[in-house]
Amino acid sequence: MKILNYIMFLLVLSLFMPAVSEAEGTLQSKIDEAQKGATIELNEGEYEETLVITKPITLKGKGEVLLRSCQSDPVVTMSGESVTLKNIKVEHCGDEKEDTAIYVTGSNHKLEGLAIETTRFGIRLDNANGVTIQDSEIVGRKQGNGIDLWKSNQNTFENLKITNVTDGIYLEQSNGNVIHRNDIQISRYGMHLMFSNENVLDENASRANITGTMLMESKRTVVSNNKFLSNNKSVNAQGLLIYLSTDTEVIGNEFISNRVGIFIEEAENNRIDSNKIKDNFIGVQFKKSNGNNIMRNTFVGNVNDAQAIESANNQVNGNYWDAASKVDVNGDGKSEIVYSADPYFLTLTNAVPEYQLFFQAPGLILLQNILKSPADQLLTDSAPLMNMTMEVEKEKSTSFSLWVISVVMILSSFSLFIFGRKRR
Amino acid sequence: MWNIWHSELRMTIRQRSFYSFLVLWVTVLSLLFLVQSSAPSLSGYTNMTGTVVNVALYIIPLFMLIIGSFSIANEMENGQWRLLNTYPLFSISYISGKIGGQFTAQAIVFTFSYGVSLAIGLVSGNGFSSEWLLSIYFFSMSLIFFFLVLGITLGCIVSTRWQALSISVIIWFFLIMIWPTALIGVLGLVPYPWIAPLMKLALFANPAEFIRVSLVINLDGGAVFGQAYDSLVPYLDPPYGILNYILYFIGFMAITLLFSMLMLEWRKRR
Repeated sequence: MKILNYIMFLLVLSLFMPAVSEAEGTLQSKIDEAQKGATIELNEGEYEETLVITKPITLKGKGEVLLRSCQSDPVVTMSGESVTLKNIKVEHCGDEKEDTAIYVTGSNHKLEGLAIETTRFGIRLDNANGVTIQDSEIVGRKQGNGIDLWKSNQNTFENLKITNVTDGIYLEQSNGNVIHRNDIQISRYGMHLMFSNENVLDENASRANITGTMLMESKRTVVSNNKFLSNNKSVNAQGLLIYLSTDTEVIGNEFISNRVGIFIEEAENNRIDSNKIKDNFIGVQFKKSNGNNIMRNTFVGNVNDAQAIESANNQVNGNYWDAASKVDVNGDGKSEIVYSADPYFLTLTNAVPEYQLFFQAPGLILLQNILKSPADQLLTDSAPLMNMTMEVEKEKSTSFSLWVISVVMILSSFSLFIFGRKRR
Repeated sequence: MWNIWHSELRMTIRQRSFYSFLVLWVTVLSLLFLVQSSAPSLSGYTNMTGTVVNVALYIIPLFMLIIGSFSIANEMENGQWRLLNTYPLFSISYISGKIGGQFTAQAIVFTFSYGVSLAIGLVSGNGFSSEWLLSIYFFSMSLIFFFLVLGITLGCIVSTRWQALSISVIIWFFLIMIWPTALIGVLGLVPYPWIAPLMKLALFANPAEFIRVSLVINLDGGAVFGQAYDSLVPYLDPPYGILNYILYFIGFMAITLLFSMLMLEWRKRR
């Protein structure tokens, strides 16, 4: 009898156990129970688990919701279609090479208002299409990409802030994606396209990265109205690197204070139109690239405007160069004096990179003027513009502090002068 | 030493040629500052910075070499140095007094001109970045100092002002104008792996190059020198940069002072 009671007790207990844990509710079980199209609201707090979502539901955080996991699985795995993830903080501390905070496959998902902190990857899209990721932030540890696409098409990335990752947004064999208004900083590459076609990069800012954006073997990319700023810390830094890519349209961008503004290497049929290229060490650099069209750009304040090696057949006409001597005889807004850039320094340093130390050395400028490169190696703008194609604002300190400097200099030197003249 | 310092300072700034330097610097600097009105931006390392730096590199070292070497060669020529030798005066205090007095005088005239030119630039409606202005100022002051010291060392070697002038011009032409040409020429003869260490050595051998490279790195342009100098750049960037600058200064002073002192002692004995 006693034993029977005991068994009954155990049975009852075993009946109640799952029910109890259900009531406490792991998130996963809530998700498993939810109907298609349901919305699950998460209450404020920390949840230490990994989620798998395979049906079209909405997971929405109310207040501060943190999902956290250090396992090798992603914190959130999404598949199927139309999954929505909203207002959630995601922290992933797994340190395996392929670890990612969020893994997305399937189609038409929406990720919004996320704050992701990750050791490796932020969000991986694998064969995912029509996914929208917006208004989110990703912070990494330079060990994986912020957003990583593999064979994923027609996705939209908007208003994301990505910091301290390997590549901010990395696309491989992914076509027709729109990358709009994102801000990517302190990473290796801002946006990195490999074998990906017809993507649009618009109004993004990529600053203080090693390379602002790299396009490699990608076709028909549109790069418009982006800002590439201060990508100058590394010896290989540049604003935009176009490598083996064709039919790229680079329009209306700003390239400011980069080591090289735009680097075009072994790439053909690209159009660089109406960009502002300012304060770079080298404005535009060509290497083994031909058939590109550079026009209506404004080159100001670059230490070297343009340099080209083995790139004689590019159309570089009708740009504004602040370093050019300009005379307009017939009043068509174009100068009659040809502006050309000598590749002497580049050829010299290509053979012996150590000579880069002579960058802008007074003696080298002299040497360059004596040993002019043959005319067919020059990069020549036959009709430089008389006026800039874009507004260029001037930065300056307040004139008050400058007046203070000026007055201090005059007064201190003058008093020393009086002291020096004095006879003892 | 302080006597020499003060008398050198007083003599220099009472000379008429001193005021011609005032005119020279004011003209050159205000022209440079006025040119900036056409430049859209003036922060960091841009083409305008490059222009200003190159003008400074062309003009300052030449004048400083001449002034420095003349200040000693002159006294050698007119016998004042022999007269001074009748007093118990150490060569080292003579030389450092000369350097100190001459540098103070040149610093006064340059700072004054810089201030005036800046005021002229501001009145004509130009704007500058103060960080940029101060970088250029310290760059010029370093050039003045290092080449004055070099000039004074030269003055201890030569016996006439004519020699001083011609050797000054030769040094200037070698260190500033054909330095890259000469290095490229010489390094073309050595095995390839030697080029990198020899270039680094050459950087320290030529104060003009050292100061120029330091300035470029200071203005965040270090990446422009490429992979070969990637390891060197952090050492020339503040805060390490300042320390290295001081070390370089000490090394440079030690070598030049020792050399000119030995020269003078040797001459005394003759």
